[in-house]
Parts: sequence; C-alpha cells; structure tokens
Amino acid sequence: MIRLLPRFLTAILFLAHLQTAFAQEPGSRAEEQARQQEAKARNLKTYVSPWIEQRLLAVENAGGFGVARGVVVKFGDIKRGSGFAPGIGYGYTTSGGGALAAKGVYSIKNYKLVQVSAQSPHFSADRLLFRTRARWQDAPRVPLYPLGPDPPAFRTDYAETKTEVSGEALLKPVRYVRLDGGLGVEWFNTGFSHDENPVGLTLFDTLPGTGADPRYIHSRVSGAFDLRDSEGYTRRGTLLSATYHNYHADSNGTHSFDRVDGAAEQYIPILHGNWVIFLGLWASTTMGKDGGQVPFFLMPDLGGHDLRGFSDYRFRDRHSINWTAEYRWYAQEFIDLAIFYDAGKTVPTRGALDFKDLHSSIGGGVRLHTSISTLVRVELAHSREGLRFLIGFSPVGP
Amino acid sequence: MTMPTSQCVRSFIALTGSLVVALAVVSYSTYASGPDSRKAPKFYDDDPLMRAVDTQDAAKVQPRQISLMLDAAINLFGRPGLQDVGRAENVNTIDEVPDSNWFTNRAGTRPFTPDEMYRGPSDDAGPAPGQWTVSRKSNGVSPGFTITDERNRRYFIKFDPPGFPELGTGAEAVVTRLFHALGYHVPQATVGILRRDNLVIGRDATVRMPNGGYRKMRMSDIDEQLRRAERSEDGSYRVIFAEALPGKSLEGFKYEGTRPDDPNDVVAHENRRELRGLRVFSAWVNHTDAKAINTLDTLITENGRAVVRHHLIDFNATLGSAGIGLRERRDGYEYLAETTPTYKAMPAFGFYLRPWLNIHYPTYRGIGRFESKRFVPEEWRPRVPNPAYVRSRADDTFWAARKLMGISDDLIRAAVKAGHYTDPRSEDFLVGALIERREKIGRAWLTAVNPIVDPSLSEDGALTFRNIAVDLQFAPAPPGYQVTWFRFDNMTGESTAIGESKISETRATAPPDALARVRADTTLPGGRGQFVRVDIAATGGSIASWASPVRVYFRRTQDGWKLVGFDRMPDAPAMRPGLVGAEQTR
Repeated sequence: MIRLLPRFLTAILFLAHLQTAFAQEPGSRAEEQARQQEAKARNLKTYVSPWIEQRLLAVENAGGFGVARGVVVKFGDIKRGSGFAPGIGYGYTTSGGGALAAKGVYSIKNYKLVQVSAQSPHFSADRLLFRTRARWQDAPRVPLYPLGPDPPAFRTDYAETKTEVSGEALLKPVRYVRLDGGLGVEWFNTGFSHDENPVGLTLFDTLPGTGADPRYIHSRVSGAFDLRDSEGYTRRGTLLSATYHNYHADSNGTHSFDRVDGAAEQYIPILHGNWVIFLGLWASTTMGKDGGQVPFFLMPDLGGHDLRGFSDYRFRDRHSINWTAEYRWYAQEFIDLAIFYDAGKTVPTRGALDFKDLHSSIGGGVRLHTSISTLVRVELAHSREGLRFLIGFSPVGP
Repeated sequence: MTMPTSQCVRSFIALTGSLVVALAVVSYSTYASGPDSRKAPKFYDDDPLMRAVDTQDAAKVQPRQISLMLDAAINLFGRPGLQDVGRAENVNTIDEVPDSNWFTNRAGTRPFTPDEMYRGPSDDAGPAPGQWTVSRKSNGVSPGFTITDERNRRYFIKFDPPGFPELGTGAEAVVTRLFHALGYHVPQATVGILRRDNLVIGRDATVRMPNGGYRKMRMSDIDEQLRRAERSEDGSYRVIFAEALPGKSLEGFKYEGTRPDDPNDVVAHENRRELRGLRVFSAWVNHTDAKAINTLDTLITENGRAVVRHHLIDFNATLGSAGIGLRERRDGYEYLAETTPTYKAMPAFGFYLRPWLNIHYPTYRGIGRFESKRFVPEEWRPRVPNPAYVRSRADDTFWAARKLMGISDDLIRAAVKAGHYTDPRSEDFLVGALIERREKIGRAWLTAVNPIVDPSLSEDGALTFRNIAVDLQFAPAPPGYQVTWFRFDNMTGESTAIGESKISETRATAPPDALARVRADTTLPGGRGQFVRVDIAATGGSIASWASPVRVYFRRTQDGWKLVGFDRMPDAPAMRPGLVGAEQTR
C-alpha cells in the first residue's frame, strides 16, 4: 500500500492539472468571446437550403410563378362546370424569351383536357405578343336546359368534345388599350349523355346544331379600353371591351354565324379601396348567317359564374344580358369580402334584350387574392332555385 | 529488462486503481468546494469591451441565397428563432453595443458633424464622368444596372419609379446617411444623373433568361430597363449610384439564427441589440422592408484574416416610397397578414375603419406617403414581422432611442440635403417630419423603462447620473430617487447592502466610510479589485416602470471608480416574441 502512495499522489496531481487546464476560466472578456468563436470554428456546418427553399428560389430566380419552367401542377382551364380539375404541366422558356408549354387536366366529373401551346417573346417593348395552341377537351356531362328566357328547371346533360388549333396576336399600342385578333380551326362533337331520360333525349334532339358536329374556322377581333390596375384583380378602374367572332362552318354552312360580346365594368374605390363598388354589364348577341342556325353549344349562356344563384348553363339562347352590382370590403391585404346582386336573362330575339324580367340572385363570399390576381373566390348565392356554393378562380364576370 | 506477465498485470491493476481513486478524490474536492468556485467572474479586467473582434478565419463561408417568399411566409405565420427572450446577448457589461463587423458607434458616441453626415459612408461621389460600362441588369421588380466607370469602380444604379420623381432616389440617399450615422454598415449612395449615351454594354455583359440561361446583353435590354424608370424632360434620368461594397458577396443574413459556416457568428441574430434596436430606427424612417434580402454579407480581410461584414442595403423603399411607387397606406401600421384586424374587419361590412385609412399625406415632390402627425412609434411595424424586432425589449428600444437622440436637427438637415430634393418645401417638410418622429420616439421609448444614464462615482463618493427622459423634456422629473449601495463580490456575484439614501436630485453621496470599507476590504477572493453596486430607482413618479431600479457597478481602479456594469432591466420578467416587440410570458 505504501508502495502505491507515490503513484496515487502522481495521479492526483496529473488529473488536477488536466482539470485546471480544461476548466480554466478565460482571463478576459475578449478571451471568453474568442473561445466561443474557436468552439464554433471546430463545428462549422455548410448551410444547405431546405427543399422548399430551393424550389422557391428556382421560381424567384426565373421571374415568378408566371414563367414556364419544368414540371408543375395545374388546375382548371377546362370547360366550365368541370368541378375540381387538377393536372400536370410542363413549361419551357426559350433563351429568346418565348415559351412552350404542355398540360393535361382531369376533373372529378371526368372532364379532360390536353393542350400544347407556344408563346412568342414580347416584341416592341412588351406591346406585341403571339400565341398559338392545339387543344383537345372532352366534357362528358355538360348541363343542358331548354332554351328561352324562362325555361323550366328540367335538366339533362350532353357530351361535348372540342378540338382546336388556333393562334392569336395581342397588341397593346398604348397603355390603356388592348387589341387582339385570333384565327383557329375548331371541331365540335356533341352527343346525348347516356342517361335513360327520354324527355332529355327529346330536348337534345330538338336543339339547333344537334348532330351537326361542325368544323369551324373561328376568327375574332377584340378591343378593350382598360383602366384597371390588373386584369386579374383590381380595386379601381374601368373596362370597356367588345369582341367580334365569326364562326364559319366549312363542313356544314348552315351553322355559320357571328357573335358579338360586350362588357362594361366599373370599379369605384371608396376611402382608398376600403370599400369597392363594382358594377358590371355584359351582353352577347349572335347572328346566323344566310339563314343559318347558331348551334346550342355556342349560344350565350348564363348561370354559375355570372348569375351565381343558378346552376351552370341554366339559361341559354341566342342573346343574353346580365349585370352585377357588388359591394366589396377590405379584410386584409389578401382577403376581400363581398355581397352581390346578379340579374340577367337569355332571349331568342335581339329586341328582347332589355332589363325587363331578369332572373336575379344575391349572395356573398370571400376572395383570396394577390395584388394582380384572384386566387380563389368562395361564395354562397341564393336564387328562387335555392342556395348554391361556388368556388371560382378568376374575377367575377363571363 | 523484462517483467513476468503476472507482475505486469499487477502493476497495471495498481496503476488503474490509483487513477480511479485519484479521480474520485479530485471530483469530490471539486464538488465539495461548491459551484461558485468554478464560476467566472462577473466582470473581467477588460470590461466593458468596446470592440468585439472576429478572431477566426472565415474564408470558408459560402454565399447562400435566401428565398424572399419563404422568408416572408415563415415570418408572417410563425415566430422563427429562440422562443425565450432575454437580454440582448452582444451588449457589453455597460449595456452598450461594442463596435464590430455588425455595427460601429458613430453619432451620439463621438463627435459627428453635418459635413460627415452629408458625405455619407464614404468619400465616393459617384462614377467618374465619361462612359460607363454596363455588366449586369436587375432581374427584380425595380429597374437597375451594374456599371463600371473609367476608374474601374463598380456601382449599382437605381431609378425613381415612373410618375414619382425623386421619390426612391431621395429616400435612398437620405436614409443611407442616417443609418450610417446611427452605426450600421451601409454602401455609399449618391444622387446623380444618367443619360442613355453614358452607357456602353460590356464585352462580357450577359442577361439572365427566365430559363436560367444567359445571353449577351443588348441595348434593347437597357432600353427596357429605362422604360420602367422616371425620365426627366431633358431625357436624362435621376438615379442613385450605390457604390459596390468591397469583398466577396455572400448574399444576405437572416434576422434569426446564425450563419452555420461563419465561426465568428456566435450570437443568434434575433438576440443582437443592434438588430432588435433596428426596429426603432426603421420606425423612424418608415423602413418597412427590413428583410433578409435587403441585407448583404461580404467577405473582407481584416487584420490579415478573412471575416464577414454585415450590411444593410436598399433604402429606396423607405420614408414615403415603396421603391416601385408610393408606399401602401397599410405599410407601417399593419403586417401584410395580421389576424386581429382581419377578424374585426371580416364581419364589419367595411365599417371597421383602420386608423391608417384616413391619414393625410403631403403632396410635395419626392416625399410620397410619409408624415409624422399620426405616427405612433410603439405601434409601428414592418410589412412582415422581423424576428429581431419581435424580441426587442424595453432596454433594446431604449438603447436605440438614445442613439437616435444623437442625430441632431442639424444632422437630419444635412442628411436630407443629400437627397437633393428640387423643391425646398420637400426638404423642409422631410426635415420637420423626421424631427417630429424622432421626438415621438424619444417620448415613447426613453420613458418606457427607467431612463437613468451616465452614472459616475467620484473619488469622494459622489454619485451623479442623468435622467435622459427628463433632460430631454420627454417626461417630468420624478419627486426623487432611491439609491441603494452594495458591496459586490465579483467572483461569487453576491451583493451585500451597505446603505441607501433617498434623494431629490440626480446626485447622491455614498454612505459614510462605505466606499472606504470596500476599498480596504482585502478579503474578496480573486484579487480582481473591489466593486460596488448601486441600484437607482425613481420614487413617487407617475411612470411605474421607473420604480424598477437600474443596476450599476463600479470597479475601484488606480484612477478612481470606473463604471464597469450597467443593467437597465435586472429584474426583467420572462418574455417571449410578441406581435411587434417582446411580450411578458403569461
């Protein structure tokens, strides 16, 4: 035991020295801070962006969500009434600033869309742009009601397939004026949806254009005087626009017709946009050529998106008129609330295009938006036909 | 010499046994001597430290891009960073921010002249006349270029938004100077004139395409940028020439956490006093856009070592400007997404009227939406919550407000003069508004906590201090003060009361012989000198927070009693990040 004492004392001294060496407090504040930095220097890590940040940076560096790039999730842009329609798309922006895109969308109501499109670079200081697209759309159950100003609430469905190859030019000669013109070929195929309702079949068979399956050369020109802040969302401004369409049925001349759509919209901000009064008036009229008929599936229609207390395509005829008054208020930067009153009708003759005997609906809702676009509208509307819950992804209007 | 195996084993066991027993003895002795014996002293000899040095080489720090969208979303809908809010961690022992690569004390700490203010962060007065070679263009919302002049100096050019002459350029020039004077590292920004024929495209200049690729820059790219800028009648453009910062760009810093690859970045940014205090300065100049992408870290060489310097940049969205036009009326009053006013507004059919809706703004050229009458400092907020701001305590805002008081009327006038507003009414209005906002800040934040400053203890025991809120006439003087004296043990942190007095002036005398006893006391361990602690609180006044004492420490030195410690909120309750500043934990 005595023999071990020197070893024991040596060990004590050794450990005490070690403890002192490692646990010694810094002698100054500067040393204390230097030690913290030394400790971190021994444990440096490279910053690795999380996946979500990498994806968002790719979007930001490319110029935002509006720029076509890679594989993206797409929603909607299919025939109205499709219901929720998710899809997938691919975009490619060329080094010259043009864009190529392709997408496919499939809705919960079995609507389908396939489209490829191309867009030119912006020319003449963003004043001129060309676009072209090839598109196939299948809508197997489009609501169909009898024609006329006050049709019974009898609904059946029809199927519509449309194939289109078209191009358009958009010109903005001065700040508030938009002109555009387009030309395309459109093939329509319609048929009665396979429900067993003989009354529906009778209705379908008696409508103009049934079974014609025309191929149209569709040309159009439009002009707009637009003082709104943005087409997608605004709290102020005026829009006056008119579009002339010519549908030339090359396979069956009896279905050639012209159509004119007009719109007048006014946004009146009160107290810097805390309140916005929106007034919109829209009218459409068609003219059969050489005694030809306007096929029912290209007639003006109301319901759903414009006459919101009624279901989609509830009213359909050769001419239509409707107006909306909306009171909107600011909840926060990205949220507005609104109450609205819609009224409108479809009529067989242009002479009946007035403000008498309009169908009306009232409602309210909430809108989520950015400074330039409406992301989603959630609304509840009421008409004599009941309550409707709506979800939209664009501003109010046709 | 060899040893039998059995003997080797015995020796090994004996040695191991000795070590184990010795370890136990050393551990027990450490334990038995108590935790205080291992405790660091509260004050070191070099306290208070006036400069925080970066001691480690940071050459390996890599640029990191910060997503604007993610940063905004995280801060709008969460409170990133540490959740317990305590005292700012980078202050020295007298509650001040030492000079560092984050901050340099200037106005209010040392003489700072109006000429210095007018000149700005550097002597640079913009690019040399002649041809300027464009190397890059802005990809952002605001137009801009990077140019190099004939002296090979690099500048970023920024413009006024169309329809708003002098708005963005004036704001950038003025606020750059103010923030430099306040202590931040900012790039020099000078108002100047650009003509299209000044510009030539650099041989290697490219334009980044939306597809991520690059193509050679064309004159049409320049024209596209110029079309988005305000043009003078003579065809020229009023611009800001922002001098390129020296060193390698590392992109911005976040207002929370630390850079994981910077060895010198050891204090969480949300706990840095100068970033918490930035809330006050931002409120002053309506800098609602103080976000990560409006900062810039650069790798520079300092004392032969690579270190990171941290800058604030982009002040064209301050005062009444949003950079791309007038600022939103909401800016400064409500976050982009804030729940309480939203819930109130939703069912109110628009009749919940925000107070900012009916503010009247002047129409002077270049001023935009900036005013002082309706400004409420404590309620001011940026567009998106800032992790450092929401942790700012009363001692942080006090520190910043006191710094701000160092910006005199003359200094404000000199900074505004650098904005080169063509209408003298604009200049006068802006000077007046900044002065009034400064005074409101003083009234709000210099009174929110016990405002004792500049304590001093003389050789003969006379304690003097100032009440800055009273001195600057932001509040009436309290009827009196209570001063409590302690002997302070620097090693254990223990304080022993040695006397107290009630006074009506900002002057007190130490209890008779108390200081002499402290001086004579040689029993204190550590040999680190003798200390006294003095707690000073206001008594009988109308401001409740003034009754909480500040805690002051003096160390005995050869030259007398030296101030070594100051804590404005020694008894601060537990706090958490709040809506606009730190809030008491419930």
